[in-house]
Amino acid sequence: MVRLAGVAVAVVAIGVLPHLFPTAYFTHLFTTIAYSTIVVIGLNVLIGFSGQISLGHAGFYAVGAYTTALLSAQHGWSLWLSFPAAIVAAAAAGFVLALPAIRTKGLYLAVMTIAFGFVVEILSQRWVEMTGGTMGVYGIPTVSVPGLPAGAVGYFYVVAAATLALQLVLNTLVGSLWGKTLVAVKDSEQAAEAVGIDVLRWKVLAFVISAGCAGLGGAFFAHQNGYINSDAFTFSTSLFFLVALIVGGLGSRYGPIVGVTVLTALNQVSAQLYEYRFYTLGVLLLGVLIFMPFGLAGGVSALRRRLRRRAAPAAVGLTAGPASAATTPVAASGAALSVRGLAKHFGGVAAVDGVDVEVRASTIHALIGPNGAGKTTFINLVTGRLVPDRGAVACADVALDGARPVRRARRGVIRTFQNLQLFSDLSVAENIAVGAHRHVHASTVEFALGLPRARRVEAEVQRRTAVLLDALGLTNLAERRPDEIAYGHRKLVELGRALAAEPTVLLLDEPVAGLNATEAERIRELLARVRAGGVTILLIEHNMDFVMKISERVTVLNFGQKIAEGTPETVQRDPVVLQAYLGRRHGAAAGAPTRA
Amino acid sequence: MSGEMLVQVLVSGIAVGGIYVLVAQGFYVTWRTSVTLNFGQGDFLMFGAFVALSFLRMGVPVVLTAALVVACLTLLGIVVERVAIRPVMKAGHAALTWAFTTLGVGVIVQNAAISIWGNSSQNFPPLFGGKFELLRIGGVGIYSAELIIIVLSTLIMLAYLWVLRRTLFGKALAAVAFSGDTASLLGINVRRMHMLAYVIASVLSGVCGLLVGPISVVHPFIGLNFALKGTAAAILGGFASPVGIWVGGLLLGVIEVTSNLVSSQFGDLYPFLVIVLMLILRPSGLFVGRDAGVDAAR
Amino acid sequence: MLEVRSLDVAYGPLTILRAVNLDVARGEIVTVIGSNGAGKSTLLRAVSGLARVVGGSIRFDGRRLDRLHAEAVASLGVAHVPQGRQVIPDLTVEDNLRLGAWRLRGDRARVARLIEREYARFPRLTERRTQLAGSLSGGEQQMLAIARGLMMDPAFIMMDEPSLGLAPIVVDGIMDAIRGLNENGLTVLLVEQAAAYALAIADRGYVLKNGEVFLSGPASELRDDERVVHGYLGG
Repeated sequence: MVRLAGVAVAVVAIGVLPHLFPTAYFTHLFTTIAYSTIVVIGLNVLIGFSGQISLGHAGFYAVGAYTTALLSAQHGWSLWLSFPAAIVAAAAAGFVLALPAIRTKGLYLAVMTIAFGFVVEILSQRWVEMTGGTMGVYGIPTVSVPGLPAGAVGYFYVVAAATLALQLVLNTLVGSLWGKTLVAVKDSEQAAEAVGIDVLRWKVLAFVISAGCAGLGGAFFAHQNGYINSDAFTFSTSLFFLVALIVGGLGSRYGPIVGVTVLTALNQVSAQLYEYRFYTLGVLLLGVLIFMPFGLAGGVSALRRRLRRRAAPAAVGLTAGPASAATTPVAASGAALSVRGLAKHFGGVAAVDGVDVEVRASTIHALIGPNGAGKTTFINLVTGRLVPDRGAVACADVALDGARPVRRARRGVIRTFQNLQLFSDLSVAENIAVGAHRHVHASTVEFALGLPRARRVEAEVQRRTAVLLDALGLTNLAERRPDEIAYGHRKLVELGRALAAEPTVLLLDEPVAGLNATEAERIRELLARVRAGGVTILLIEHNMDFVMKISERVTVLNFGQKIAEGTPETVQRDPVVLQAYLGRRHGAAAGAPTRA
Repeated sequence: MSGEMLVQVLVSGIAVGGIYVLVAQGFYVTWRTSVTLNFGQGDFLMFGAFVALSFLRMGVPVVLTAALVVACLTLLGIVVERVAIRPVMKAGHAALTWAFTTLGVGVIVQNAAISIWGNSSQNFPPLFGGKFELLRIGGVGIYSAELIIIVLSTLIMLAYLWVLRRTLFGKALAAVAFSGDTASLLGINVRRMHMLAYVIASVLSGVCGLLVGPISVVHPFIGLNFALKGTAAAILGGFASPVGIWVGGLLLGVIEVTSNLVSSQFGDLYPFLVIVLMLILRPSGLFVGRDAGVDAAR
Repeated sequence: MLEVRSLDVAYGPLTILRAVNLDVARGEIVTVIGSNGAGKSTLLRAVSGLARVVGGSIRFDGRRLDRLHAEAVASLGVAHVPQGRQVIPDLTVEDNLRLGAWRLRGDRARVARLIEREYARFPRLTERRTQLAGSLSGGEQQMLAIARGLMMDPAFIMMDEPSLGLAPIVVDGIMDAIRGLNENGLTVLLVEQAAAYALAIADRGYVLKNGEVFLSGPASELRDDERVVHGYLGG
């Protein structure tokens, strides 16, 4: 209801705006704000929501502009065809750039996008046969829609309507499971892969969407004045989009419109201060990032969250809470994990040296060993993060060798992380919901338009999430962010996310590290119930009390080799294990006098 | 291409490449110590060029001008590290925020240059005496300015390598690059090292500005071009070895001059295509093994 | 010499050490043992200024350390040989040693004397003085790391798991070297997982478990104490 009211207000505002400011100058300005917002919405998807970067977005903008300009002005295409062509061309350019780009991150991606922007800029200047260079393309037809006033005002209505539609679609996507999944990719690619999210695919998708939006904005730009030339597609243009996004707020829904409006207004105002007007972009970039990293729109939501936090401070420590006695929802029976002869060397040192482990289905098996024994390397080999030098890993008799981590996760081999990789921008409930990804079967378009199948999937995931929250005793904290809750609760959330994936084999890396006795006991209870539900569990731990109480079998590693295996009691008394941890008795063998 | 032309291309390429190398070394030294770099470094180069231009026009001798440029850029280096890097290296900021803040500083410097010197292209007065503009060496005509730039950039490069490899300070930088924690256990002030790395990078760029003048026009918008080419040189050299970067940069310069000769219309394009291709095919550079694990690509 | 009182150390939201009390008197070898994850490394890092102290205090010869930057702690004469050796692999053995004397770098004569002293103490390093530190074996790197720590000419040195990843015979050699240093007046705080080696040369020991001091006392008593084993393996 609130949403419909909001849309109605927006429609009215759009309708009224050209009449409140009835000069051609302002109408032109508003139109510019509208299609610039379209570009920045796309940039927001790329930088704010998927965590990538583009410092050359004017390139996609240019592709869109030139495509529609050339097709309509020089080849007589109808605008109903040239506009979609512009979007497709820009999206295709985004795809082509994304393929190499997604494998790089950080600095190299930034450089690649700048280079791309430069390439497009140079082409637009020099490829005079196509683009007209600095002379440009003339005679681009204006848009006329029957029923709307002719000229600039009518054009404003068209562009503003498109902007509004795009904003609504974005809002739908961001509010849906799709949007949460994209943010998860941004927050932690490792953790996203661990629950079966195909990170590479999602990053390419974000690039393509972002480029397509830039193309649409460019197309609107081209038809605004009937003329474009290469001056419009420089690095300054890319910088404008970037600064607008940052000022408005990276990753916030209304950041783009706020940022573009503020920046345009500032430019208008500072045109008066002739000498100093150029400084706005640089100063804004620097100032906002240092003092207001959330931007304007983002700052508002951050403030709201902080107020809410102050009103209801997070409970410290875990109460042995009323976790529901109902069974935790799990997969069909857990699978056996079989590891044979697994080995991995790093520069001449054997981190894992020919290890065999059989984890029987629906049991809890612990992996222990002194520092540097190879336990984490072992888990990384099983999940596919590292490629072994030799050896085989199989789950329920299906070989996993050669499969990427994502594939293994999709088969139900789910892991948690020692250093907790929660999605910091998502709430507790959303963290858990995203874990169910491998059971989500609805497409981007279905989510974008709110089609029935997407809505059913969301409802189902919500239901499952609620059950898990209840079982973990986290229902009261469902809306909190990870940084607002106590450490013990965060460990529960990470466990909950893994459980949401309905694992067949659950790999836990130090599940009770840093927890006190009560909290550790709580996890122990939970894991016992999870196992009762049939899941196979392999865990690494240093907390020996915990290991001894919960495991059915224990494997001990040292220097990458298996030195002992058996029930907890057997392992505890094994002299080989004692020596591995405590060292050889010094004086006795060497005969040197020990300290009195 | 005739033999004479080949030599001329090589000389021009090495001259401009030598400048890219110095910019790249600036990126290298800050990247190694703090895993950040100054996206506005090209604008620092431009600023150095304009400062040099102003002093030269006033009749200040070249050596003193160089010293003044060094002083000015030292200040800029300290400023950029304090204002754009240090505040955003603490927790609470996204990983690449420093890219944006240094970009912001670069834009501000660019705008300052426009305010002070206007936004049109300017030419340097002849730096090294007007008489010897075109030398004949072995029958080949070569511009003396290019030759002098090659000599100077080589000397600077050697001095830089000497500082990195033979002085205790350079070794302390290597320690910080390896592990800031370990370095501070030895009593090294890591924060100050970061700052000094930025000063070195900025001074190198500023001196480049002085070198660039004689062989190219100078206007406030040349910054990003040099920054990008410098980054390309660093990438070609694998971001891992100053000598590798030296070779990479010279190679890039030669590619650029050659491609301009081959096609004056799209000549400018080829170096950027090389960059994109390198990033796709061999991000760890020409000289290092395929998966050398360069941090920049992660 | 070193006084740790009620120390709480956190890493982000995670409390690693809780209410730890510890003393090291001049001339002693004190060892801190415990299984991994117990917080031993964190204790040394807290003393050196690399970990965040959220409660309690650390005093060295009466001066408070817990508010200082790491290089300030180092310049007070607290040497720390970190876990995993951490020698600079691209620099030579001699360069690594020189960097160890960073805080004395103005006094060239003294630095030269210190280098000769370390070479005399560790002849293997003399043989390899111009080799890159990364090409040394594990045991040699450990010796280099210790020698580098000693280049600071400290009165007090902390070592984090010098036995890690080394063969028993090499560990014996290193423990002997440490004992020799102590006999010459160096106070040592030794963190180890391999309790037997450490307790053989120490005067007193502390056993850490899950971030708290579980046991403490003279090394001679701890050596035969069953509870030490429980500290590691539970049960």
